Order: sequence, then structure tokens, then C-alpha cells
Amino acid sequence: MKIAIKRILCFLALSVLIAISLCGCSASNDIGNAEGVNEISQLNGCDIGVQTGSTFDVMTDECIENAQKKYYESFADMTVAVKQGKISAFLVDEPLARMLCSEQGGIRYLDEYISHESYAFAFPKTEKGAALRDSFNKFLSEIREDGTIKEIEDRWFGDDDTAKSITYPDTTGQSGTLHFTGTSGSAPFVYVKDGQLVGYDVDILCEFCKRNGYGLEMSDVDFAAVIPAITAEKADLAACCITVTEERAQSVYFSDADYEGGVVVMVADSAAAGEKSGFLENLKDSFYKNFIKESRWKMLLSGLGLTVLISVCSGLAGAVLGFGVCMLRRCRNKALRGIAAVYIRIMQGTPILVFLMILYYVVFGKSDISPVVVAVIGFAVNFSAYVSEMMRMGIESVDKGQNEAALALGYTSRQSFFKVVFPQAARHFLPVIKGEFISLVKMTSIVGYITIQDLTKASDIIRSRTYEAFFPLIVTAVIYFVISWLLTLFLGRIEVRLDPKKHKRRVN
Amino acid sequence: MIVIRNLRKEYPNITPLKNVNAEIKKGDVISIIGPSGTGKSTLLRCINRLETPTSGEILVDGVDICAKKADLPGLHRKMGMVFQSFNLFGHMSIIENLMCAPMDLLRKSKKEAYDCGMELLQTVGLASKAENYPDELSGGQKQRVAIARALTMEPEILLFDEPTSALDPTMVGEVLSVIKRLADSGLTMLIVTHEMSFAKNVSNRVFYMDEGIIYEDGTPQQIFENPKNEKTRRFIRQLKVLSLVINKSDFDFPAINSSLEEFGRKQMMPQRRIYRTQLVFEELVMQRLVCEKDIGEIHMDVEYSEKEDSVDMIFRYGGKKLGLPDDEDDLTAITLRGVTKSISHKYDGKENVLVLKI
Repeated sequence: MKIAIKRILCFLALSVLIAISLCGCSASNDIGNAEGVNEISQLNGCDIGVQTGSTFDVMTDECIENAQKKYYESFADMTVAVKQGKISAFLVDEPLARMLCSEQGGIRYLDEYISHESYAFAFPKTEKGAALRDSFNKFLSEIREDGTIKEIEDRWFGDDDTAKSITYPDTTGQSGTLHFTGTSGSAPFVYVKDGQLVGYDVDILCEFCKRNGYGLEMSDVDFAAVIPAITAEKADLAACCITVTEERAQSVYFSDADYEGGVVVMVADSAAAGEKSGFLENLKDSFYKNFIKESRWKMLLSGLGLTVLISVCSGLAGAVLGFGVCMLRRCRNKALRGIAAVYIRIMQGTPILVFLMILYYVVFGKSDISPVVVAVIGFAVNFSAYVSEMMRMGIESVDKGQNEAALALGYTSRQSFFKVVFPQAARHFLPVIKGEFISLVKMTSIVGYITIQDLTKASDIIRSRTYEAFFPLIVTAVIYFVISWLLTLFLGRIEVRLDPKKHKRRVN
Repeated sequence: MIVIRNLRKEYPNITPLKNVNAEIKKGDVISIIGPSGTGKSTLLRCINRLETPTSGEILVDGVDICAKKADLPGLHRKMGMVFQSFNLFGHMSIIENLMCAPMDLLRKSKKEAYDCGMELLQTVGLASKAENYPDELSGGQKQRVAIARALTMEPEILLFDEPTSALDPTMVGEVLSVIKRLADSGLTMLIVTHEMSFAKNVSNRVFYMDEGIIYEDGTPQQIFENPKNEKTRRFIRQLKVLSLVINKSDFDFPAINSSLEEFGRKQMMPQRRIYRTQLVFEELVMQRLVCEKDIGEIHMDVEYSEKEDSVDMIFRYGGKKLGLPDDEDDLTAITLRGVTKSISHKYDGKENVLVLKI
């Protein structure tokens, strides 16, 4: 009976969610507050989208008076936002703009260059970085002379989708392995196709590796994390339509420009909005685009695997670590107790995202450690701080007499703790920890910041390719919901096992 | 079996045990009685080292258990304890409560532990509750299980810390009868209790504790029927006492009168009786004693027994022999005889003791 009610509630909640998002979708075509924009000056005082951490931030202020800046993580989000009328326009590099327009209806860019820009590869500001930059520059002038770069340009800026493929070098080469980092949201320079990073920059990079005998490993992070990855020497080189600026040149080395272009203003195109097919047709088409095409569902699946792996590992490790901290917090030594208290304070007072970034880019900045391990460590440490306090609360809520009775029977205090006090404490703290663990699962959605392609990141990548918000986001939400729900059920079982009231055991 | 020497226990703001000395022989059944807050429970908890004494020594079978390296788990196995709040393990069923210690500590097999546990449950009359959990039992049943649990470790000494204080009056009997049966079996037992008649019937020795020491130690007959100390007598008879010293030359009559009134009200005496105590005080002290020479200070004790529903007023004063005159015409004597049940007077050559029962 109870379960039936639960299911109905779940179903209702889901339907409401879907209904809301459908409203959002259908509303999108009706709003077009930038209709008829033909000159940049018409945008003065309007809402303008800006990619976080990009040079467009300053540029927006320079070319649009009184711009109300809204910050977005990717161009895909901004494209959707422009179409929905949430922002009037956003600045984007011309090659990207061309690609967005050809792939997406409903947007266009103004026929006016805001500035002329050079795009280049970035290298760490170390001797090694400088050496690599020099050899890369040499390579650039080579391919410019022999016409290879023209071929690559035609391939990635052309309309022929089948030509857009790369043969990758091995991960190890005779000259060593290069670690590359980029943002998959910057097509056609770097993006994901068939589950792999491709694009103009990637093609050049592969050519470089092949000619110089390097192996290649690539990682995909948010744009805001690209420059930090270089400065922390997490990556040997980076590219994703990175504009060369003086400010950036102070923290990284730039190669010669591999592409010269300009910045344009992207606005909604109300004329294109007319071509609308049936609702179901749209849905089917969109489903195909988001999941079936290029086997995109596989990305979601492997992302899901990583999310579950990170959650479960850090949950278990965090529980064990939390128990240790709890023991320290309760021990007789005042200094140890103090250390545990400080540890808990710090962990509870630091945002997990910031902590994770610190771990990845500062603490393990120089070491070659898998980001998944870093994520597990980060979440385990964070989780342990909460778990230890919950355990302590549970242990303290057990009547002192229980311990005394066990001692009086002849148990040592250690035996008494594990045999009598802790099992009773577990009944108090397990339900609370269960909730905390579920929220941990959802918290792992930020690991995209340290190059892990978890479930959320996978859906972000899909969005950056399809420029659609509805399916990837809703499906991701549903998947998270299902994981949480299954975990709740599973942990509920354990709870029942520990509670004698709900689970009668027989002796003899 | 147990020797306690100069035992002292201090807490930061209170010292419940000042200097306790005692010797307990094998087979002794000792009831420890006394007003609350006089260290009875603390003494028990020191004996099985749930508390660490501040100083002094406790020898159990010749071994000092206060020593730093004392084998406490070993001591605990020898010494069972029953608590006021039962402290059954809430996450185990009744029979598991009885099985866990023998299996874990005496290395008994599951079968042995079960059989032994069931046998003990039978003796306390709770075999039918073996599969239940502690919070499904009444207080009296819980305490009987707790006693059975203490017995599973086959202790030589059993300590009871107010075993019936947390129980309904209707359940006290069942627990006491179990303890009584144990006492008859020859186990050495120390029982902190407020059940006077039980203490009188079950034990062969009684400790009266007060002021942080064993104030009086004797057989039940001695303690209950013929206590040596005034404090013991008052506790046994459950007297409420008001003690006042009246300095003949300058005493505050209204103040004493109002403290009599206050004492009476606190004990819920009827107004008539309060008035009588005041009248006795006024007639005797104001009209008679104050006029006499050489009697020094007058000590007045008012003792009220709720159980016997009586008030005794005792006056002690020096000087030569001075009672109430037998004179039929003496107005004071007539008044006093009118409001009291009996009057007695003693003189030992130095001190007059005048007792008036109201």
C-alpha cells in the first residue's frame, strides 16, 4: 500500500517536471525581443550572454553600452538562451558562429566584426612549456607552407560531415606523451563526435604529434578550467578557440596563431522560427539527435558508470574515514580531539567544488593522478566530516548505562563499544547518513570541473553538440532520481536489518 | 572477601565519600541505607570500579583493585551489578542479553549459553519472554531479567544499586522476592535500598551511611530496633526534625514562632497541631525556663513522624533538676498537660531532658 502511494507520488512529481519543461520549450518560439536587430548599437542596455572566463567579458563592455551581462558555461547554453529570449545576444568567434548558424535554426549573427582576434595553443610557463611551444611554432610554419593547414581548415569548416574525422596517434610515442586539455563546447575547434574529441585544433594537434613522435592523451574540461589546468601543469598544452590576450600571456605561453578570425554578435533570427513541424515529430527528431545519433547514449551510460563508481567509492571510504574521525573526536587526548574538530570545521565550511578544484589543481597539481581518484578522495574527505558528526551524535545518544552494564558484565571498554554501544548508535545515525549519502550522489555532478566525464558532464557534452536543453537535462534528472531512489531502497534494507523491531531474529 | 580502607571519592564540587572503612565477609548480605546524596551508590560504583576512587584502597580477595594495573574485566566477571535503570541492551532480545556475555567472555558454546540463559530465566519466571525485546517488558520484568543477566557470569558477589527505585510500587514485590531467594542461596550481596522492611528481613548486616562515611554498621535488629546514633534513629523512624538553640538572654520570640509555623506547614501538619507546638514553646520556654537561673542554652528539637503521625518536642537544658511541677494548681503545667499526650523528664546530674509528645 505504502509503496503504491510512493509510486504515484513519484509519477506525479515527474509529470509536473515534464510539463514545466514542455512549457519552457513551447514558449521559446514566441519570445523574440531582439527581433529586427541589425546594428550593434540597438543592443545597448540589453541582456548579453558571456562565456565565463572568456575574453568576451571585457569586449562586451567595450562594444555594447550598458550591457547587462549574464554568465554561461557554454555556447550551447547561450544559443538556447537566445532562442528562448532569455538574453538578446552574445558574442562569439566567427567560425563558431558560422557553425552554430548552419547547425541550428533560429539564430543569426550580425554582419559586423567587433574585433580581429588570433587563436592559439596555450602552454605552461615553464622551460618544458617553452620548448614545446617552440617546436609547435616550427610545426605551424611547416604546415602553413606545405598546405596541410588549408586541408584541415577545409575539412572542419566545410559542410561535409563525413570528412570530419581524425586518425589519432597512440597514447604513447617515442618522444613521450602529451596531455592535452580543451573544452568540447567550442566546435568546430574542439568538440565531441562519436564519443571522441575532434575538431580543427584537435586535428592540428594530432598532426603535430604524428610528425614529432608524441603520444597523446586528451581531457575535456569546462572553459573556466582550461587555463588553470595549464598553469598547474595538469596539461602540457591546451586549445579550444583560446583568444590570445596580454593578460593570459602573463600566465601561459601562447604559440603562433593557428587561426585568425573575428568576433561577431549572435542574435535570434525570428524569420527562421517559422519552420515548425508537428510536436511529436519534433520530439522524435530531438530524441534521435540527442541519444541515437553518434551513439550518444553510450556517453550517458559510461557517465552513469563513473557517477555510480565515484559515489559508492567515496561513500564507503567516507564512512570509514568518518568513523576514524569520530573516534579521534571522542578520544581522551585533547590534542587529537582538537585536530579532529578543526578538520570537521574546515571540511564543513569549504564548498565541495572549491575543495575539489584545490585538490586537483593545487594539492595534486604536479602529480600524475587520475581525476577519478582525486574526486573519490575529495568527496570521501568531505563526506567523512559530516558522517563523523552524525556518528558522534548517535553514539552520544546511547544511554551511558548501556556501556556501564556491559563493563559490569566483564567486557573491556573496546568490546563494550563495538558490541553494545555502536550497534545501538547505528540505529540512530543510519537514517541521517542515508540522506547525506543520497545528497552526495547528487553532489558528484560537479566532477566535470576536474575533467571527469560523469553523467552531468556527458549530458553537457550532448547539449553542446545538439544545442538542446530539454532531453539531455530531463533524462539526466530522471537518471539521478532513479539512482537515488534505488540507493534509498537498498540502504533502507540495511536499516531494517539493524533494527530488531522491524526484523525479528530467532535464536535457536 | 572485600576490605575497604580509608576510601575517599571527590568530585569537583562535592565529596560523596569522605572516609569509608568496612570489611565484608563471604556470604554476607548487606543492605546499605541512608538519606539520598550520602554516597551509597558511589560506594557501590567504587567497589566495582565504574568510578575511580580519589584515594584509599579496596581489596577484593586480597587484590587491590584500585591499583593502576588492576584487571578490571576480571574483577567485573567476579562481581555482578544490577542497576536502578536496568540497562538491558536494547538491540538484543531477552535471551540474547543473557547469552552474549557467557559466549563472548566465558567462551561458552551457543547451546550452553542458551540452556543456561533459559534456566536462569525460568528461575526469575520469565522464560516465556525469551524472544521479546527489552522495551516490550514492564519495569519489574526488566529488572528480573537484569538480575538473571548478572547471574549468567556466575559472579561471587552481586551488587544492587537501588534495584526497585525506578519501579511502580506494584512491581517492587516481584523483584524483591527474586533478590530474597538469591540471598538465601548464600551469594555475597550488597544492596543499596530504600525499602526498610526488605533490608530488615533479607540482610544479615546493615550499613547506615551518612556524611560520607558508614555511620553505623550492625545487624538489622541493632540498626532498626536499637540504633546507637541519633541520626540513625531519626532516619529509621523517618523523622523530620527542626533543631533550634535558644539563648536565654536574648532570643527572638517571633522568629522562633514563625519557624515553627513554617516547619509545620512544610510537613503538612494540621493548623491545630502547629498551634499546639507554638503553645508548648510559649508556655514552657517563655513562662518557665527563661525565668530560671543557671540553665544555660536551651536546645529544642521538634521531631515529626509522618508514619506514626506524631510530634515530639524535646528540650535539653543544664542546671539543677528541673521538670514540670506536679502541683495541681500550676497554670503552665495544667496548660501543657492539656495539649500533650504524654510528658517525660530525665535528669542525669548535669542535663535535663524534657520530652513532650503532642
